[in-house]
Amino acid sequence: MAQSDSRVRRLVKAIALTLPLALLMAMMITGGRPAPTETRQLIGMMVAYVFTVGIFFLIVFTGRTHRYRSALFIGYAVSFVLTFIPGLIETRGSMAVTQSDMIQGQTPFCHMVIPTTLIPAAVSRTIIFPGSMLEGFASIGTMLVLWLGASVALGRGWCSWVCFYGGLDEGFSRIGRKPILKNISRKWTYLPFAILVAIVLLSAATLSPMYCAWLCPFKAVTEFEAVTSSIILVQTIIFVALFAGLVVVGPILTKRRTQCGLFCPMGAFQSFTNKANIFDIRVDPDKCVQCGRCETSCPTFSIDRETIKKGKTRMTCTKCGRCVDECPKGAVSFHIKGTPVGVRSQIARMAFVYPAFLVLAIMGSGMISVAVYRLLLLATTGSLVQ
Amino acid sequence: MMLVEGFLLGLASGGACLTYCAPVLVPYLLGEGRTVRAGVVPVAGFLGGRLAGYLVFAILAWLAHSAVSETMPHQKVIFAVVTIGLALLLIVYGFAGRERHCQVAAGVAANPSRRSFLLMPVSLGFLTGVNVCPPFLLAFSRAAQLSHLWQSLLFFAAFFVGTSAYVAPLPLAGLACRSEKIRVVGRLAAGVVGLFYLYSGVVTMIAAVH
Amino acid sequence: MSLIKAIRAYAWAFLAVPIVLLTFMGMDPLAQLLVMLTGLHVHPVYAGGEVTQVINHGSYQTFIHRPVFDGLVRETDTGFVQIEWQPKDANLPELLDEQIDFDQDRKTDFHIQLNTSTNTTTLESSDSRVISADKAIAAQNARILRVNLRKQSH
Repeated sequence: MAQSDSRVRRLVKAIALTLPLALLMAMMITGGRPAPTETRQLIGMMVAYVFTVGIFFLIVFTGRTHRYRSALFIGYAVSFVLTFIPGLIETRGSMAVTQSDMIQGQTPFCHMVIPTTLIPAAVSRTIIFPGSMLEGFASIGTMLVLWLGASVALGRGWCSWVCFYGGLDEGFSRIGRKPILKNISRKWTYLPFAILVAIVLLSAATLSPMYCAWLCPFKAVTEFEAVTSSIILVQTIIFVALFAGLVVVGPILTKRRTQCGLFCPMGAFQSFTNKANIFDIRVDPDKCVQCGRCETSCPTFSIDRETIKKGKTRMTCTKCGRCVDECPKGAVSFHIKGTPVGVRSQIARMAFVYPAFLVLAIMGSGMISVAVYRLLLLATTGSLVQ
Repeated sequence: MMLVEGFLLGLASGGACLTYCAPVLVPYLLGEGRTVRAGVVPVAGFLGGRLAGYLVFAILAWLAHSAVSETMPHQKVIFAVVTIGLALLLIVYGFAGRERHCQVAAGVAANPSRRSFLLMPVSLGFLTGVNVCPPFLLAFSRAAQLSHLWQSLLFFAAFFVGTSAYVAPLPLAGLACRSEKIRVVGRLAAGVVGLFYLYSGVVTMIAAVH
Repeated sequence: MSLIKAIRAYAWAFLAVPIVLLTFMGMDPLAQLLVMLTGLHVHPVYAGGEVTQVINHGSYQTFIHRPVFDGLVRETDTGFVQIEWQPKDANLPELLDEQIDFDQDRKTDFHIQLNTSTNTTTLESSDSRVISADKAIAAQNARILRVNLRKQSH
């Protein structure tokens, strides 16, 4: 009786918290316009809506964050690829960025470029990227606003709730039951910071976004420079190899997000925003039994014996919620800085998850809607492209 | 580009090069019971000694440039080969090198009879400044490719500024505990920078051969 | 005191939702405000620099940008000048022929010819600062060419 009362209370609470999000999502997914009349587009929109709202309901009702966040996060990343590539083929005929696109400032601005633009932006108020400040898809101005707003609200939660690439290596890390490679030296968790230092300074010295040109593995699933010289061919080989190694093979072997935790300089840069962000993950030493499950499950190597002793995570924590869900004693929890640890942790959890999920749902639902539409297009016409 | 390159090499490598000495230098330079303000003077002396060491090598690099360009017809090929070799060394140093202790600093600091307030930090600075590690060798090689003495001096001055980012905050106690992380990041950054110089050396070689 | 600290903390935490909503709903005006307040603009190496001369040929126009030597802090030793022919190819003759004075000292610095059907370029330089011409680019609404320059005369 008491159990069913508690279940009913949880259900009522979940519905009460989900309703405002459902209304907001209805507004955001339509953009204030009437629903599409084309059947496939309408189905895509409805699937995206039900999926995102359903996921949020489950997060609140079950009290578990990571599993359901992960499902939406992976779906979002896959949808991004299914949306972006056919879109490029429709507009320009290929995934390759041409000199024409670059000279006309038509290259979409990706958040991964942000660290490399910092020094020139600070010194001469210039952005070293062949894009447009305010016009076109993913203009520099709009992406900077998105990054600033999400960073203020979530800190490095960006990496587990906003980044449309992170879901790819998270997805591959879910393949297989046990890790094959287990002991990764702690030294390599500093590599993202080393890459950050090098590319920020080299980009300033050469006035060219070095990470985009040489290291970004995600060019394999978005766009890349057309191969018109041997240098570009070498760059192409590098990014394909990095994608295969860090995004596909690495996560399968380690069951961790190897690109995000061991390579991404944007992630390293975003770690500094955690210092200012109001949310973090804390460990209650009174409840902790030192089973180490949080340490072995953390996708980005952000919690270990040392940090557990201090009752916190490393600054690289992406607030995915996995350690919180894995802890058998409830010792690990979402926390609002300035409040007692482990007290009202569910309020802290919802205070973080609500805005984080909003960002993920708004970004993700649009992508999922178009991805479902494209899959229906494939099923009905035999092509992903119109 | 030249100044930024020198600064970059100093910044990317200084953390690794210098913070080997920090566990020995910090207690010596600051001394027991010294205030932050009193610690600034020996650190400033240390930095001055380092700068003097680097400028000596700047002159040596310029002399090396003159020697190579006067006697050898394939100057660009030689410098390309040297750059590639040192880049490979830097990559190994950055990614696979082992830590070693700062023998110079340990030896000098351990002998109390030779201490003096300013002379010892300056000497220590000079000796650690001419410490021959792969990033320093690469900086020397790059400086040797510059035509004028003033360029070589400026290059090493920029290199000095880059390494000083790790030394200047030493009087502040809190930084000592972060030195291990900075050292690891600095070392790995040196390896990444080595990859850039490998590419640069290969491109220079191809251009020189064609 | 700890109660005040906790209230302040919760207040900051609950601001995250309005911040997110403001970010999405106000993205375009906020972007314009950001650009206006900071003065951020695309680096001339990518944007081509401002247009300083327009030559009217009737059915098409030639836009000559300022020479770009912009570096991070100071000017670089080599740069370029960007030339554009607009509008679309249908209005352009098969052979584009221009005498370019990029520094506006009333002396021709170079003579450029661009064959729009073969996309080949011929460059005749009258100034030692002119180095070479890149391959012309057929953009959406223009033909764009960059001529490489050195800063100082040889």
